[in-house]
Order: sequence, then C-alpha cells, then structure tokens
Amino acid sequence: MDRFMWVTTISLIKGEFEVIQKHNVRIYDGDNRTNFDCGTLRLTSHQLIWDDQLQDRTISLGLNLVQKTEEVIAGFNRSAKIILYLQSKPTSQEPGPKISSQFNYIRLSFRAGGQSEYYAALCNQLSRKRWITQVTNQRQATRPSGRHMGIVGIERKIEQKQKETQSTISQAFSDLNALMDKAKEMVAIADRVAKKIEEKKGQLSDDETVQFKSYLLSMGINDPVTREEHGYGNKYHEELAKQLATFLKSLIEKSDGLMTLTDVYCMYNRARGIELVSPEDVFIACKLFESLKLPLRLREFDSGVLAVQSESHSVEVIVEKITKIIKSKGCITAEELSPLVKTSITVAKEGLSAAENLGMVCRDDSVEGLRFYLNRFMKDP
Amino acid sequence: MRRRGVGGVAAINKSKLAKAKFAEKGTEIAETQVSQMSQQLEEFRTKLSDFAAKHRNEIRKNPQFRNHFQQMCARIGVDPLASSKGFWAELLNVGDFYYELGVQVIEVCMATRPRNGGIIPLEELRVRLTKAHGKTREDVTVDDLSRAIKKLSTLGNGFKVIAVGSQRLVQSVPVELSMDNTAVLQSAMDTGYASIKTLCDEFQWPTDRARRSLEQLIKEGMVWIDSQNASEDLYWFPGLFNNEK
Amino acid sequence: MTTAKQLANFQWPWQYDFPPFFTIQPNVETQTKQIQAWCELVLDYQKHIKSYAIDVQESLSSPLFHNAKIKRKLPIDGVYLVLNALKDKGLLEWQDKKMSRALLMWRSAEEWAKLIFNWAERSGMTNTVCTLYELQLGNDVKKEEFYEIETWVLKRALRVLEKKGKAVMFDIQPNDNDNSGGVKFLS
Repeated sequence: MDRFMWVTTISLIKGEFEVIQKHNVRIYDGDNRTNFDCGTLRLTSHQLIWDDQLQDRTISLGLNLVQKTEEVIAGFNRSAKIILYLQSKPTSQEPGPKISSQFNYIRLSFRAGGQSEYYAALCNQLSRKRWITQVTNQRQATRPSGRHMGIVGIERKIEQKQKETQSTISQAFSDLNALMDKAKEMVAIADRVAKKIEEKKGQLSDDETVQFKSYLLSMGINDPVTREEHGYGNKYHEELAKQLATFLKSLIEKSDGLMTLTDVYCMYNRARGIELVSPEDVFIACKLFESLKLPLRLREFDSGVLAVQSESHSVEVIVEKITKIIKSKGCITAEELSPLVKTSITVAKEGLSAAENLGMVCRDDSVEGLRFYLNRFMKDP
Repeated sequence: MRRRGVGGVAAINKSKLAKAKFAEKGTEIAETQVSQMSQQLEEFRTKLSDFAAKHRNEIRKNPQFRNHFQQMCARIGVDPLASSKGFWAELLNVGDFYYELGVQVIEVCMATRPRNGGIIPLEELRVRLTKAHGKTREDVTVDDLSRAIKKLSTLGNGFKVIAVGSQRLVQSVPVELSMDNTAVLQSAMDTGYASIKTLCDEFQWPTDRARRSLEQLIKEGMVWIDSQNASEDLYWFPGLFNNEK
Repeated sequence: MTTAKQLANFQWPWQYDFPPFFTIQPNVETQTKQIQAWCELVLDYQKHIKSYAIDVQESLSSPLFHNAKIKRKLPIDGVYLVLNALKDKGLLEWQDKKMSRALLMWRSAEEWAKLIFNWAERSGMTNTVCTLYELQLGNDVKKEEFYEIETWVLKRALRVLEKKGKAVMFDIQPNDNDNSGGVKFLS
C-alpha cells in the first residue's frame, strides 16, 4: 500500500491512454482491510488510478512497480480478488497514503463484479510495458493550475485576487495545518484501538465498543472492520430511527408501503429545514429499524436500489397487485405501472423485478423497451 | 483464625487470580486507551471549536479553501461529511451546506430525468441549481456538487459522477454503464450525438459492437434515434443537447 | 397558411430543435414521452395561431411538423400517431372517414365550459339570457379567453353545462357553424 502516490489532478502523459474502469473496487494492504473501501479503479497503459467514490481523494500506482499478478477465484465467504505483487518503493517517489507497509503485495476486490475482464486487460497492459519507452516524459497536468495544489500554490493564486485578506488566508491555512496534525493523531489512536479490539475479539465490553464507535462517529473516521464486527450506529442513530419511523408512518402508506431511501432523505430533510441529516445517517438509522422493532424495514433490491418498506406492506403484497394488473392489461412497462400503484418508476421497476424473481411474470426485453407479461409457464394462481 | 499472609500460598493464589482476571478481562489494555480516547476527543473538540470560530466563514465563502480542507481530511482518513453528528458538521457547519445541496441535486436530477434518461453534465447541473436558488446561496462549485453527489450514493440510487474525457457527467439512475457505453458518451460529448460510423472509426469497433452499445442506451432512455440524417442514422443524447432554455 | 410573423413570438419547446424528435422512437417509454410532447406542441401551436382545424396534408409542410432550420419533418404516420393520441384525449374530432381533416380543441369542452360558467357567475349573468353571438363577440367578453371562440366549440361547451344542469340552451340550430340561439346560465 505504500507504493501508491497521492494524485491531485488526474493527468495522462503523452502516449498514455485509458483502457478500462470499474466502480466499487476495494484495496487491501496485503491481507489487511484499509479504508480505501469503495472507489473507481481506472486502468491506463501506464498506471492504475483509484478514485474514491465517497470522498475527495485519488491515488495511483505505476504499472512499472508490478512484478507479478494473480487472480483468486471466489470461495466460500470470500470474494474474488486480484493480487498484485509489487517491487519496493522507489526512493524518489511522490508521497502517498502510507509511508511504509509490511506487505509487498496488495489485493483488489471487485465488489460489483467484472473482475475477469479487468484481469485480462491488466495482464495485457503489463505485458506491453509501454512505460519503458517513455521514461523521460514528465506528467503534465491537464489543468493550468499546476501539478502541486499544495498550500503554496493555492496561496499564490488567492494572493493575486485578494491582497487585503492575504494575512487572513495565510493564518487560515497554517491553522488548518495545525488542526490536521491533531486530527492525524486522532486517526492514529483510532487505528491502534481498532487493532487491539480486533486482536481481542469478543472480549471487549459493550461499554467500550459503544465508546469507540462514538469516537469514530465524532471524528468522522470510517473503520470498515469495526463497522462489520460491531454493527452500525449508536444512540444518535437509534433516536433518528425512531423519529424517521414516526415521520414516515403516514407517508409510506400513501405510496403503497414502499419508498426509496432517496425519497426518504429528501422529504425528511425538507421537513427538518435546518440541522439536516447526512445520507449516511439516514442509511444507518434505517438499518436499525429491525433491531429496534420498528414497523419498517430497509430493503435492498438486486439493482442496488435501497427502499424503506412498511412491515405490513411486504413486497409480496405489491407483487400480488402487479400480477392482478398485468392479468387485466396483458402486459406492462414500469412507466405504465407506476401511476397505477402510486409509486415512483424506480419502485415500480423493483416491483416488477421482484415479481419476476417469484416467477409470477416474465420479461420481453428489446430495444423497444422492457415489457412484462404474466408467466404462463407457472401454474395459474 | 486464618492468617492473612502477604506471601506464601495466599500470595501465589492472589497473583494467579489476578492474572486470570486479567486474561478474562483481556480488555484492560484497550480499556486504558478507550478512556484516553474520550480525553483526546474533548481536546480535539476544543481545538476544532477554536478553528471554527476563526475560520468558519472562510470555509463557507472560499471554494478553494473549502476544497483544500476536504482533500486534507480525506487524505488523513477523516470524513467531515459522514454524519451530521460528527464534530466537523456540528462545529464547522459544513454539513447543512452539503446535505441541502444533496437534496437540491436530487430534485434537479428527478426533474430532468424524463428528458435526459438520468445523465446530465455536471456543469449543466450547477447552472440549473444556481438558477433555481440564485442569490440565496453562496458560490457552489462543481467540486462542491461532486462532493455532495458522492455522499448521495450511500442512498443506493446509482448517483455518481462519471469522468468522460476531460468533462464530468452526473448519472442519477442505478444503471450499470459499460466501458463501451462510456466511450459512446465520450464520442457524443461535443456534438450531442454519436453514430455507428464515427464509433467504428474512433474506436476501431466492429459494426455489431457499436450497434449493441447504442441499443443499450436507447433501451435506457438515454439516447433517441434520428433517422433523417442524410448519410446515416444518428443517436442523440438529450442530456448532452446544448439547447438550454 | 401560417406566416412567420404569426409565429414570431411563439415559444417552441426544447424538443422542436432536437432532431430525433421528428423520428418516431423505437423505445416504447421514450415514444410515449415523445408523443405526449407532440400533443402539447400541437395544442399550443393551434392555440397561438387561433386555429381550430387541421388539414393533415397541409400540416405536413407547415412549421408545426416541419422544422426547416434543422431539416427535419415528422412523417405522416407520426402525424397520425399524434392526432389520434389527441383524439383519445377528447381534444380532436375527425371530420371525415379518410382522416384528412380534423377539428381540434386546444381546450377540452369541459375546460371551456368551466371558463364560460365562471365568467357568467362573476359578471352576474346567471339567470339571464345570453345569445351565442354575445358570448363569442360581445363587448363583455373581449378580455376573456373564449373571445372569438368558434361556434362548434362553444356549442359543445354549452352542452356540457346543460348536462350538468348549469345551463339551458334554446333556439339552437343543428348546423355547427350557425350561432343563432341563446343560453340561460343557472345559478
């Protein structure tokens, strides 16, 4: 993981071109989880660029540092992965997210699939070694603001515009640096505690776990391992879950017992007006519905769409309704269905998919669109 | 009366008991650090509070400073926008700005989806938002939008920012756009349309591959076909059609 | 024939300059949106040039279905799709079996009925008699939207009111273009 470099502006050198990109790729430092959890991995002829899908950060790895690759097929409880064995870090390399690593390999996990295609493309590019003929080329930034968006660069730009406020800006930047130094320490503490917790699995008291999760929440630190081991949220999210349940009670009946999480986020925040909640807060709160014994559930469809479902209006009820409608109409598209079941097109699409999964309807997929018909291969209900 | 001995069997037993207790609780090490944590947390909160008092405005008014702040946070492993309960959102007020922006982004994307099938240039999104909310909001940059959109993806709606060449598009539907689909988008960026011939010329694709990719896009409602062009059919993206009224 | 002058300040919808708008779309959902947009355009256009009739052949080369600037024309089967969609909405009546001419209301009879009755209530014209002529061209209605309304449309609107028990017509001639006769609005 220490062979990666920070990227401020993605730039391709002369002769470099993009080959393939995939979303939802996770990076492991050797065997360890990192918080480089969800990003778009772009393969070019010269490098791998990982762009965080959730935050402002990008890292890159030169293909010249890859000695060997391996593909690991998915196993029981393990996702498929690509392993990259790396050469040691060149001394002249630009700084990256990690100063040193105990591992000389990284692993890539393709959470949204497409690994084989990617692996083939990667092997292809590695075999061509296009970077060898272009060692002397410098990377030119595509934006005129220059390669180093460091403090000095920004300061100079602003200086030209706001001479009178220069001293304020300088102060702001140096104060920011000091703050970040402190924040870095806080992250390091969290890392150490997280490791200890991992080592002493199952022996941490509830109290301590709660405290630690609260720490992570306050600092905005995402530790995927803690999240997976000890679940989501804390008191704040539990309260939010209860508030959401009350707020959604009548709304969800109006839309037939199913509402997308996106709609929940919008409506709830609009109603709040100020002190809005983050998308992640809403997500975590809804995940807690079941454990808090509230009459709502968070449901994930195959397409990745998340929706809140009223316990009494299970998707099965919607499927029954849809089947009745198709019986009377012969066939239907999601757009035609949505006003009939009083939901958004997204939810109508999911309803049709669910009906298909239950074998009640089948699809006719053409350039004309996606139509659904009653499944006559099944016994008539 | 039993003797209360300090040494001897009693002592050995006591230390054995202590060791056992230690192993049982095994958490003792973690416990110490956990209590240290709350102290550190308070210290940090104070520091952040001071910083906020002095520079909260700077973050609100200055997009470049805001950018820098966000990038620094991301690099040290901290997400100031993760939760409205986090210190950052609470003390710096960055939360409301981005969460509100998120709501507005969703609204614009929903409103324009019937027209563009769920693809809109990031810059067009910014223009529409500025028009809709005009003077009541501060300068919103495309970077701010990108940040807000990244957070929205948590809601499982397919929202994402796609880089196409040197430009950025916002996708707001949970559809998997293949590399080929993205290439078609790239081909259409300047003119608003693509054609089988230009795709085959530009990317050295066989005709079939070009046609398949275009048909996928027609199916998703992102592309309309135009069969009145002299030489060949054209495939237009209403999302890229630069004819804003 | 519509002149450029008539259309000088007409607000064309964004689709009008979008070339594929003139190709009937294969994707069913897209086509539905397309036809809907065409219906709205036809109604707005007709309203703007104050025309209640449409001749299919003529319309093909009118600015409505022919955008010379981008060199696109809606083909005849497209035109029929749009016009029949309007018929399904109750806004269009074919005048002949061949479907070469149609009468078009850019407001439904129901909507006209509402407008006229509202005016009647506002102006205290309930329980008094109005001639059809007065409703079309009288001084009292100069500022109303139904000013200069065509006789056949007016008659249909008044019939709607009659059915609802809100008006009584008398001395009405069967000819659609004959505007003799009157109506009494009931409160």
